[in-house]
Amino acid sequence: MFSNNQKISLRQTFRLFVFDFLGISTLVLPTWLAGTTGVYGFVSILLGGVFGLLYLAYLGWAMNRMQTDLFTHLSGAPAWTQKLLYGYLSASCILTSGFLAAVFTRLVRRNLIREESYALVLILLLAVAGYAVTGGIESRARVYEVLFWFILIPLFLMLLFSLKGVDPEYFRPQAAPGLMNFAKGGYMVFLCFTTLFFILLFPQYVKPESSGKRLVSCVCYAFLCTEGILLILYAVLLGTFGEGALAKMEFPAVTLMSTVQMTGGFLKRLDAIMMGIWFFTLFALLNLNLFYGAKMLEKCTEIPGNKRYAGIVLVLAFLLAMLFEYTDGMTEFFYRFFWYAGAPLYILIPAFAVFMRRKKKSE
Amino acid sequence: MEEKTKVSADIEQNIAKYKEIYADCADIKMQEMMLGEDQDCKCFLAYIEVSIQNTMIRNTALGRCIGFLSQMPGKEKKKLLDENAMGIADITWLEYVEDAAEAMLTGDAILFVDGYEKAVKIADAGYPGMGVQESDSEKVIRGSNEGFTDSIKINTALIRRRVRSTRLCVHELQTGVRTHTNVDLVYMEDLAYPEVLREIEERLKRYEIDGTLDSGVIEQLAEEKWYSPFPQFQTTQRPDRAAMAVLEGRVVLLSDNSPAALILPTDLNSFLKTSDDYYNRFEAATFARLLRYAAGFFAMTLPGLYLAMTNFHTQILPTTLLLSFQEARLGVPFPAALEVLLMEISFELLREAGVRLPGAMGNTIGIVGGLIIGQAAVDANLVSPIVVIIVAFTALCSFAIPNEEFAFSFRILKFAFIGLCAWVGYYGFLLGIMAVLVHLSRLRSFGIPYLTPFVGAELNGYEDERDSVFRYPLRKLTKRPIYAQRNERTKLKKKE
Repeated sequence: MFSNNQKISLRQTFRLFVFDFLGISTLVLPTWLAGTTGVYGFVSILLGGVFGLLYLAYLGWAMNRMQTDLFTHLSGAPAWTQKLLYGYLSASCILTSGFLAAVFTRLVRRNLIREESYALVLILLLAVAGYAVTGGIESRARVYEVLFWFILIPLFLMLLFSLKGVDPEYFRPQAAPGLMNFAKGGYMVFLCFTTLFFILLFPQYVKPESSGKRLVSCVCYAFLCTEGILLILYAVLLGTFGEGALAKMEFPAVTLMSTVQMTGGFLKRLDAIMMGIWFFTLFALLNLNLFYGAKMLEKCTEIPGNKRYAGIVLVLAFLLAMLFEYTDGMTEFFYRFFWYAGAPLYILIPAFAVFMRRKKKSE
Repeated sequence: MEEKTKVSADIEQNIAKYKEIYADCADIKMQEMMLGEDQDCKCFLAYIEVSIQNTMIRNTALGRCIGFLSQMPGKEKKKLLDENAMGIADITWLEYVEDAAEAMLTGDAILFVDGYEKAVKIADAGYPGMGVQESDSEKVIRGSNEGFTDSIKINTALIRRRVRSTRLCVHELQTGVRTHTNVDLVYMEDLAYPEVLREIEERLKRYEIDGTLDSGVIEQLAEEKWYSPFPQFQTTQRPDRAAMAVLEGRVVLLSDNSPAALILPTDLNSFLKTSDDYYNRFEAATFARLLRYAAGFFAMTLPGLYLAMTNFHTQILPTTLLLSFQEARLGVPFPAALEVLLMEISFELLREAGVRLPGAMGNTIGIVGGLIIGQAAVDANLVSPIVVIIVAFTALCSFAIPNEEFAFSFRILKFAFIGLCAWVGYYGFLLGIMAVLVHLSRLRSFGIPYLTPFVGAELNGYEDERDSVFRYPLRKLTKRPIYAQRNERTKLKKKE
């Protein structure tokens, strides 16, 4: 008999991670990279890929040590440690949700409904996201399993069509940026892949026989797939707009879609339609952060109630998204937080979790 | 619990009790008669008017029984009845008068014989009903033309005629406190999951209802997500479709007085399949399915997309097309959203009127509504021709969906999409698609994800994907779908 066991398959995991990675990385990275390493952005993407793979290997090591998911592993740790850890992770997820909701809303308003109020677009978005969050991981995984080819095929087709506008002149090597810039670029790419951290929570969601090595290799494929897409997209964007213009654009990938001309096409401009790609990919990442934000909050308070926490997280995400839009320096604060605290902590937490448990065992 | 009265050897007591039970029932015929060699044995026959052919016709079971009894000496009657020496196939002995009274409601005759402490139920013509006719709602080009009838017995026979296996089980239940409606669960013993059967029975018993006059009532009460516009039980009026479902390891639920069988569990893909998908070549079946999937999508979204593109994202459309849209709308006094909404509501009204009116008049409504009123509305500048085209195309799409209940869910969601797209354009469309997808991903039919086989296909080794949007050649469809028990999934193999 089949049941609602909150377990997902490896194919679903792969597709879920591809969407989690794609959204923000394809939207903001090209601008960042063009401003930091310019024509050499490819090197940064590859460097970020190396960082990501190392991080994944490290997470694999931690999972191997833990032999279970992070929640179960930490259940034996002192209460204050759990509260601190889950409290931080929850805050981090909620803050990221707020940021993503703000980016999402900005993107929708800029490209689809310029005149509509920010708050209304945000509320509609969070209402649907809230409905998705309460469906649990199974529901999320099913949605993205279905959507996978519907998103990737048009994306590839659009990239193919846009090759027509690529000017090889833009690839002419410039003066190489400093080593620090490459490292910075690589770190930027890595930041967009910190969702890899959530693999630590996946052993409880995949079938026992799929956890461990198979799970890591499945996420590794998703990571490499996204890296490939990112490289192609960056090449197309750079070749179309050039380093200087690209560094100043807000969402260059969406702008690219407005320039694509399909030969003999029935449709004139496809940016509005292609917005669907970023709608669904950003939605995946937003959903992931809302979902884990609620989950971590539940763990932190130790009072069960999935829907209640989803509600709290949604309200907080709404307030934060409003702050991101209407408070100067909020976005800057988020970047700084993620640069100096968020990502480093995502690196430290697995080691800390392994260490905590080992200490407990030895005691 | 009310105490029952045992059938007495004294027939007068039985008659009195029986007449008390059916005191004010003009349709119940109660006939006293003196039978036997010397006409010395009092008998009492009760039946519902029209359910008995003619007691004097000797070739009916009842006629045969009465014939035997009228020639028997008094002492031998008991032996004759006990041993069914009349050779009647469908005969039941009942010990309580109340049971006999209730049994008569199935359309059979009840006979009391003086000195005999049992009531005898003898089947005869039964309730009048329509014979096997062609199904109106699920037409096919190739395949059987038979449709289910109102009689549950005929319906089970129609399935058994197609699945002549000793492993075909028919489990009978009753629902409705007052209607005592028979419900049959038809399944293959070795294919259906016992857990699914248990779950179905449990859900059927979950409610105590006055009456079940159609399988639709059972469907609504047994559905897990009652608020969903999407049906979680599949209905069919075709015995071949039901037989196919049984062979897939699914359970077919037949309800008396209903020509619609319920098939469970089900999934989204099953609603877009037809019987003749398997009778036609795979290219034709695949093409038809692709059309149906596209039809489902457009039946839900086309009017909304039109509004989003013409009101919000005009940059998408080529200038010439946009200009012709604008030109067509010249002079129309309503905003585009209201225009679309009015046309859609008008169309739904025409459809409803066409369904309710008798056959020939229903067709007339279609012609009057579609051609005359539509043309007049365009001429009067009340609606633009493009909106008429959009609404007509949407309707065409909804008619291409083979299952009426499933098509209805798209028709109802179409209005939500019109609202969302009229409000926030393409953003509303994307939100709507996401919400529908999330909703579908949360739906299950007896544990089977509704989006199967597009999700969780690995559970059956990706075999179910071969029979989804693309229908592989029959010789490649060697496995049963996920509904069948794991060790009984092979359905086709080449002979050695």
